[in-house]
Amino acid sequence: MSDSLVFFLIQVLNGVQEGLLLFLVASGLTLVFGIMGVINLAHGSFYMLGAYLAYALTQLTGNLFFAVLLAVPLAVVFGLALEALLFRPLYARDHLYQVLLTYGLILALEEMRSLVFGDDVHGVALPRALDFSIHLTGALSYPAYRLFMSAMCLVIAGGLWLLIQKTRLGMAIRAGASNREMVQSLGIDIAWIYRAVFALGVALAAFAGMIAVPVASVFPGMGNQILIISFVVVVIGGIGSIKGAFLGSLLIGLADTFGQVFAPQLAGMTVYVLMAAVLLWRPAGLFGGNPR
Amino acid sequence: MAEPVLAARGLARRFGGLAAVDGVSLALQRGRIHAVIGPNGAGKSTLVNLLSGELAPSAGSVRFENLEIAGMTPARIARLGIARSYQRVNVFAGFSAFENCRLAAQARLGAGLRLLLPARTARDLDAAADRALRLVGLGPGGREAGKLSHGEQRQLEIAMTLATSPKVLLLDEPLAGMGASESARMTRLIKSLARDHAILLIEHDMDAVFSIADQLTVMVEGKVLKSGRPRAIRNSRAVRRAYLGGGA
Amino acid sequence: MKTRAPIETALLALGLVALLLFPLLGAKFYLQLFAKIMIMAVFAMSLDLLVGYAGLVSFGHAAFFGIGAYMLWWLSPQYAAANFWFSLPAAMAAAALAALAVGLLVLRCSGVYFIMVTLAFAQMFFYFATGSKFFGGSDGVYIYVKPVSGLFNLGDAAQFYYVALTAMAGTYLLLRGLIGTLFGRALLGIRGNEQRMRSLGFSTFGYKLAAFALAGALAGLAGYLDAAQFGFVNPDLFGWRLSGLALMMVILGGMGTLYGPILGAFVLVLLQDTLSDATRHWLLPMGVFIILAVLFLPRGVSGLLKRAEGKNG
Repeated sequence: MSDSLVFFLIQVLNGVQEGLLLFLVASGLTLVFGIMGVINLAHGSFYMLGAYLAYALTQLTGNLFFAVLLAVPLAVVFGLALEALLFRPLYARDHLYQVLLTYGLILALEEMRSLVFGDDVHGVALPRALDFSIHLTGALSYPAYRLFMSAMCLVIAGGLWLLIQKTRLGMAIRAGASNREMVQSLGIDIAWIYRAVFALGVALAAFAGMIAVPVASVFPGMGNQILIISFVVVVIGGIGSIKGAFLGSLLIGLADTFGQVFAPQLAGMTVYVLMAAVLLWRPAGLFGGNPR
Repeated sequence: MAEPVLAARGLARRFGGLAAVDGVSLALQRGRIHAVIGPNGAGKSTLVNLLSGELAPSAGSVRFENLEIAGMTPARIARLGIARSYQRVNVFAGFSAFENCRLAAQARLGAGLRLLLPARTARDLDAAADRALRLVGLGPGGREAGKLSHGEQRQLEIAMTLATSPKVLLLDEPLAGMGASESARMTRLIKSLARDHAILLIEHDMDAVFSIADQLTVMVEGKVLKSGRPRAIRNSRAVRRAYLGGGA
Repeated sequence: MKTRAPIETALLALGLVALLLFPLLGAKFYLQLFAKIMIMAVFAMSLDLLVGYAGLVSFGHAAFFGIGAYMLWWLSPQYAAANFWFSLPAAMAAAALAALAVGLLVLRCSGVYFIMVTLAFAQMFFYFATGSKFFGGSDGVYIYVKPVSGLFNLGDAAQFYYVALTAMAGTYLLLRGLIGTLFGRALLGIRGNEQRMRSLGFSTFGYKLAAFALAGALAGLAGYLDAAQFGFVNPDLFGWRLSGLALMMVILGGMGTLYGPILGAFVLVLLQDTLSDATRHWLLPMGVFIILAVLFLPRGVSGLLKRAEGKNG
């Protein structure tokens, strides 16, 4: 294979990996909104939480995998506590109040992070088992860890697919259930569902943060950065649609990667141009329902 | 027979594989009440939505005074003079009944510098609102719309459509949920409105329908089963079987 | 739609008199602080037009604030002053045009989508400014000489204070007047039940777009004055933090009242000032305050006032 073709392939792999990671975060966001009707600005903070937990626990245990195994339950517990304390009073309220409360939450969580971990950028070494590159051509090779990340994300995406297609909860998600009656009519306890969905959202975002640490490091503001891109994904894909989130994430991942390579002056803007284009064509996203 | 003010021909609307409305034609004339009846799911509400513009037809045409209006936005159609009332009360709950009608009357103004004048100078809108409320028999409309009784809210629905000075009224089950005396009053009101408007009346209340309708169309499963004068419909065996119930 | 109670008018008049007299006894620091508050009040009121009257919850309103600010920098020669009478209208016009362009796209969305896309568009401006060498990138740019007007000196704290006060009072009166027109009634109708408005015959998109553009212009006014006051402009002026802060001011003060956002601006800027003096991590108590306010004060401070009135009246 020629070098430029391989180069192209590498960009595709990067784009797909970025997209898949984004999918983990965006799917949690769209699930929480689709099932619970809650818009959570602090969703990116869970990504950040996962990353920082992974960093801290890796420092402690010396092993990223152990760290992840420990960190996921910790993140979920934290998420559930937040749900009980702060989110439950918001279910019945207007989106405006959810936006504002979670806005305050982002500020508070960012500062807490600053207090506990400081403001420096931290890196975590690649786990030794995956610290190698796959040789592609004479000069170009691809890091195995990135392939591992993509694989993990695909496994999780597969798990989500199973959830959507094979369970009653999945039926509710597919039906675009965003009100209590619909979900209740499936014979599942609504409070339990809300907690489970919220926990799932937290776990997805936190896990994404954790496995991304070796390549992306931890830095202040990482949560907000990915949150906004997740919003773009949800807008493009349609709220409540996992399929839309998957396609949207891949589109964004590829657009961002290729945008950075071919038009670095427009760095970061390709994503928004894409969003504007989709909105012109479909105001409710690719798989969204009516733009209620 | 008078020229039809609103004429639908071969109107159809499909949702995926299901045809909610299939090849429906009907005409409305000024001074006449054309009632559409049929079992639940017959496509009556879809028909109203097609005529008011809230749904675009999959096929067919709707002509209003020589203008093809199929596919136009609801706002444009309303401004032409076709007003609709809703089966489920759809008012501005936080405003008073008077304010509801006044806002409805404003719709006819369209855009223009007039919009930037202080609102209290718009006495014509106040008058139109008062007139509409009086026509339907609602008293001084100072009470909050959300706090009115069900019957009064349905009266408000009609008043709002009247406040827009329409030529055509599309009434979607105006008697729904009303008691006997309220229904009688509303039925008399609709009959009186027929003098100056062309009226499409969707209703389940057969007494009311047969007492005031000039023309009846029976819809079943999206199609027109039969259309004609009330007596012909009442005597039709097919209609009795499908909808009115067997026997005389 | 209720007419304003006499007590509210009295309080407003009292407030205005107090603000007019304030420079007679205030130290320069407080003059600058209050000027900043009044500029934020303009910003918050412009957002209230969208949120409290048209029912449009925009989380990207800072985009137009930032445009007003950057316009002043762009129109200012490097070591000379811009002409106030030219640059201010130009800045507002630019902000209005941007709002028109953005509005054409985002107003096709409603509900949560609208919140998300307004945030995303503001971020687009942020990333553009951050990545642009011409506009100074993330470091921002400086305005070394304040605009001149021939009438007043913006470099003097008291005079700038009065300019800010005029802007705030002017914005209030303009918006109050607009709400009292048929256009204003239509906006309230759109907020109440947009679908019904359409079925009555209103072209609601046009109304929303007009409101969005006007709100953008006023946000540009606030951004311009902010840049004139501090002489420093950076991409954070487009940021979601500022958008969220403005939204908080509107809600805290009480949306749909116009004076509510003014109250909200006072409370939040004073709070921010006090907290940031106390600790480097002032965003933590700020965030907690916001959370508590949302949980326990849904109608904002003016809602409290109304309830107090209701008990007595």
